[in-house]
Amino acid sequence: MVERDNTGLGELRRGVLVLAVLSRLQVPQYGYSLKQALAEGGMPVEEGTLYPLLRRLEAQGLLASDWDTGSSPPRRYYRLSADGTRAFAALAEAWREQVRVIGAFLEDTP
Amino acid sequence: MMQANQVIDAYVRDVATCLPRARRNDVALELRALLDEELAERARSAGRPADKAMAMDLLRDFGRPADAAQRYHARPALVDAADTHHFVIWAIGGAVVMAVHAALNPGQPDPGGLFLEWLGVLLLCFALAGWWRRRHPTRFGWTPSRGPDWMPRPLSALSLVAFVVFPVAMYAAPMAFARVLLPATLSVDGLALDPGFAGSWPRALTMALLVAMAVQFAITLALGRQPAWLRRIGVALNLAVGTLLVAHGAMMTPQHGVFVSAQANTVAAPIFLTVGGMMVLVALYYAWREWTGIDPAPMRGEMPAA
Repeated sequence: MVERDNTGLGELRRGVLVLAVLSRLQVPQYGYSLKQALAEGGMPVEEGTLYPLLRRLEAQGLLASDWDTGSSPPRRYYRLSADGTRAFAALAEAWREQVRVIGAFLEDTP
Repeated sequence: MMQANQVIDAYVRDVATCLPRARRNDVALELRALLDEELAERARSAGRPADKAMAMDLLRDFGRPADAAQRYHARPALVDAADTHHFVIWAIGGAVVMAVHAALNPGQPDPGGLFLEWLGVLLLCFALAGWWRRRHPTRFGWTPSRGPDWMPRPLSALSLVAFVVFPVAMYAAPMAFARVLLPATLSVDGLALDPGFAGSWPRALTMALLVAMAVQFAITLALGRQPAWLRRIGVALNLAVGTLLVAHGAMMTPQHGVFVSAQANTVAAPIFLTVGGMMVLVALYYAWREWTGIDPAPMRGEMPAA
């Protein structure tokens, strides 16, 4: 379980979660494997937050999904849609710009 | 004893019942598969088969079924969080009105039941307003108010004339007032003042306060605005006159009252109570507004004293 905190760290993580999810879904993943991939990459996410987020991104047209009923248990695989690929590129660019801006703020801290 | 998979099934069922029918099966199928994988991973990590306690521990992290369902399908609150403050104020305001009404009319229906009905009406109104705002988010933009001092002269003049005609003239000489308004064929003799009341101090005091209120309107007209000191005097005058009118109504009997005629007293008593009660409530409302208002507002470039 991800620890809850009042320092703003959780809010910061939630803010970049969409970008992290889109980055991992360049190859198809099902919910649990995506959660594992994020955790292994250093971003543990609460299950209750991640799975509904996938549904929301799919409803927004950024993800597409298919059931793999050949596996046991059946799994729903998510991948980036064409809109999702464009959104991922735009978010990645915005993220790099934010890193540059925040980096400059932190360097400038008295 | 309940098995781990039964616990998971029960949880998925409860989540699904909180979702729209069209989404239930789809979400339930995926959630069930994900929870199974989570549980299997925990069992692997613990080196023992999954049991009920392990399943309950997992589901605690997911939260209540209603909370989990809300994350899948967000439903708006019946009363928007931003409206809670106004909802509470309207609810308390209604409770005060009903308490005053019940105190003045002891034989009226159960005030507790009326209050519950009031809460129901409020809930419906706030829910509809929130729904309408969500459907038309750009139509209800904020517009600046003119501030508590605002009172244009035409409105002041109208208020002054109306006030002098209605309560002042009517209270000072009810028979003459009715004579002017009613057809000559109708008798207004019943509105002659009771001699005991006509010379009493409550009548003199009420008359003096009504004249003071008229003067307050005249000052507002002269200034073209309503500064805080004048508004506060108005609140005090409203409260005092309202209380006196309630006292008029409460002490009236058919034989001993404001008028000579017993029938006029019977008709007038509830009117005095209603008008007086309304004035008290209006005064309390404006007192609350004065108490909660910011006066004076901080000047630009000036910091309020710490």
